[in-house]
Amino acid sequence: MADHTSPMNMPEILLYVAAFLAQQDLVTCTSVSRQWYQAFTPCLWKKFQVSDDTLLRPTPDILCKHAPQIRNLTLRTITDLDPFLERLTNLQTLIIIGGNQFAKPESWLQLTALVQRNPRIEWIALGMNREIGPPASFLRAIPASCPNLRRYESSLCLYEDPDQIDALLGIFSRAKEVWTRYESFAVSPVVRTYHFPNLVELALKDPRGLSTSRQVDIICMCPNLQLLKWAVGRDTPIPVQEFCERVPQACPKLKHFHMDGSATLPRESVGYVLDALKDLESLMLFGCAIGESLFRSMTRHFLSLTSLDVMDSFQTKSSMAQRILENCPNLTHVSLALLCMQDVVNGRPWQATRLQHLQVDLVSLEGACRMAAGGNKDSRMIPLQQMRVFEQLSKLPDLRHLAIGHLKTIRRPSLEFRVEHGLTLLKSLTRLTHLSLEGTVQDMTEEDADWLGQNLRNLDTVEGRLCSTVAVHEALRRRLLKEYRVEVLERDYEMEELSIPSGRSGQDPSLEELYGGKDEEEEYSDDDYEYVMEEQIEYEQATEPGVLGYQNEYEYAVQEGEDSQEFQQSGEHQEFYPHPEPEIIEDSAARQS
Amino acid sequence: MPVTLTSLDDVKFTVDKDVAERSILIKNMIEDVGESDSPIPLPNVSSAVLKKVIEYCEHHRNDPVQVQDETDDPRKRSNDIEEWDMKFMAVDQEMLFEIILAANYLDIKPLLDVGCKTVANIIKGKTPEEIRKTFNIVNDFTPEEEAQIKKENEWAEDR
Repeated sequence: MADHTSPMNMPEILLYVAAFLAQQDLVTCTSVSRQWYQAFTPCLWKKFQVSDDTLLRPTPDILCKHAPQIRNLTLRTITDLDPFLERLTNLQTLIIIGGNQFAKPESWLQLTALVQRNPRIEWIALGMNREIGPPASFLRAIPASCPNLRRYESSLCLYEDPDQIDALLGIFSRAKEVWTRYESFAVSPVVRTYHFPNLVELALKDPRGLSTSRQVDIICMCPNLQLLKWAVGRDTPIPVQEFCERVPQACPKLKHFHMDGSATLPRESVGYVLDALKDLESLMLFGCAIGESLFRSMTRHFLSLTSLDVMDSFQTKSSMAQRILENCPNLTHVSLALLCMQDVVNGRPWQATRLQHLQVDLVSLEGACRMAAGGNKDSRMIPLQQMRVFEQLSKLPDLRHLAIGHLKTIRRPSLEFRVEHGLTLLKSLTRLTHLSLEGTVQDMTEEDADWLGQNLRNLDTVEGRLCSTVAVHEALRRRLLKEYRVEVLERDYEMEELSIPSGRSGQDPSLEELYGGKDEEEEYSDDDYEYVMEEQIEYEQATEPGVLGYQNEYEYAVQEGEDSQEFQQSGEHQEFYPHPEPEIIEDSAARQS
Repeated sequence: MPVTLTSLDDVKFTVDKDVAERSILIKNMIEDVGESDSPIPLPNVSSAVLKKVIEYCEHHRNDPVQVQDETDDPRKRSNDIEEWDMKFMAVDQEMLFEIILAANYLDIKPLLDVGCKTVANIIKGKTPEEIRKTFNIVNDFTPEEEAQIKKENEWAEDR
């Protein structure tokens, strides 16, 4: 074929191809030819992060050259960047993360000018340190200069004077999506004079200084609200009656409700809220104690739910997870805590056959007993049970993401991905791209790994330990990568490494070899600001007194009914859910900074 | 109602209207011309390629119209190829390119998607030299330009 007709010479096709390539491949593509450089460079610079470390960023001339190509910018400093900032004119997303780097009023003058120079901005996100917040002049520049503003996010910002808060609420009345996390308000605004008709998504995550009653006022000013993410602080009562009376009427389109941090709320109050809302399509309960009465309130939404996440709530029982899967026909995404394989075998077939994303802590109690009894693997009953579970999973042809464990330091017996246990039944899961076995005990062989690689053709990542024997795991990991281009990652290796003191100081070469280099890059190279922000927030949380105590309240109930109390107090609970050590959290925070 | 399409080499294909209308170009043509028995000429597409394209459109005739999704995770997306599509795309490079060109010309976005995903999968993990070899591209950089690009990309490379 003559070269001039090749689509590989057509800029519009190359641009299309670029959309499917990761950063590293884009870099490669820019060095293929002059034409490819022209086509791929803008994609490479589309998203850019300015580090506050001058050694970690390109020279000023390179920055200036590519500034007009940047659409999505993360700024961690603005010091010594004047010529670069002046050349930025095509931003659509602007993310500003930092603390003291933005303490001076002059920095906000520069940032205000930046916003004014970029009328195409659709998304602004700020992440500060609770002591600093954007001044009113900056906040007012956003709606004034950016007619396409869609989303405003703000984390850990301080809003201290009424003018600043008025400017903030001015953004609320323009944007479609507003997410706020852990803000500090020095004064409480009078909300009733405002109106937020554009808001479709609102996240109010534990704003300090804003009473829950005032938060309900804000929610009720959003007649077109569809998604509400609401988190209240520890020991903060929610005005249940006010919420139930006002919100369903004020926000008739509300179909997505996420409730977070309500560990200390009486479970009835969350139940009343769920009773008041009608036909929810997505529901997430984080850190809620789900007992029978709250579960009953959840069942009202079973027919309409497409997405449900209760994984990080506690006191959920295995039978509840099974009932959810039996009775929610429209679910596509679900994250559940405990589900005993026995309940799947004894229960009815799942009506949730459209699942694309299934995350559940699938536990084999028999396996646990077997291990406790000394690890005797020779039992003929288990494979039959496993086969029944594989059979149930095989009826989910749309499944793309399957996770059967929960991240823990101690792995638990779960569904064993073995051909001899019925793995071949999963042949129907042709769309599966991601499989997580993290937190489970696996004893895969080459036959089992080959089966995965050969039959699940869209599979690209497997998480977790494939075999409890490290050498076998390593061999299988290499095999899956080489033969089938399936990447095997382990997320919990850090925890293990930290739990073995010699591993950290490098005295254990096998650990160094196994976990060194590549994986760590994979984990932390991601410049996704969301991740960074979450880390930052987690760090904030972790450093506050009482928050670590909250972690300790993670409780699961394996047994039905009242037995759960007993289980939580037993030593076994300690083993399965070890409390995170403070230094681990500090260590991860130190690494990200 | 069937529609007749004529390829570059003057071969006629008769297909159902809903199959032909997977191509936005053809859909617009039919709308403009109105109901008519006369064949639609496609002077940019050879019969061998048109046959493949029709095969694709027939398989996907009942697919819902694609919604533009702005997921910012390209790596994941290129792996999300349906099994049938993957088999359909198991063709030599020349045919792959022809299909992409035809999909672009006929404005069949899902087919263009699959084609470009396939190309992306070919590119993944290769070195610039391997890519040039694969696609028969000449390296037209001067050594100075190559050095300059290397410098520009430094910040991205060690991540």
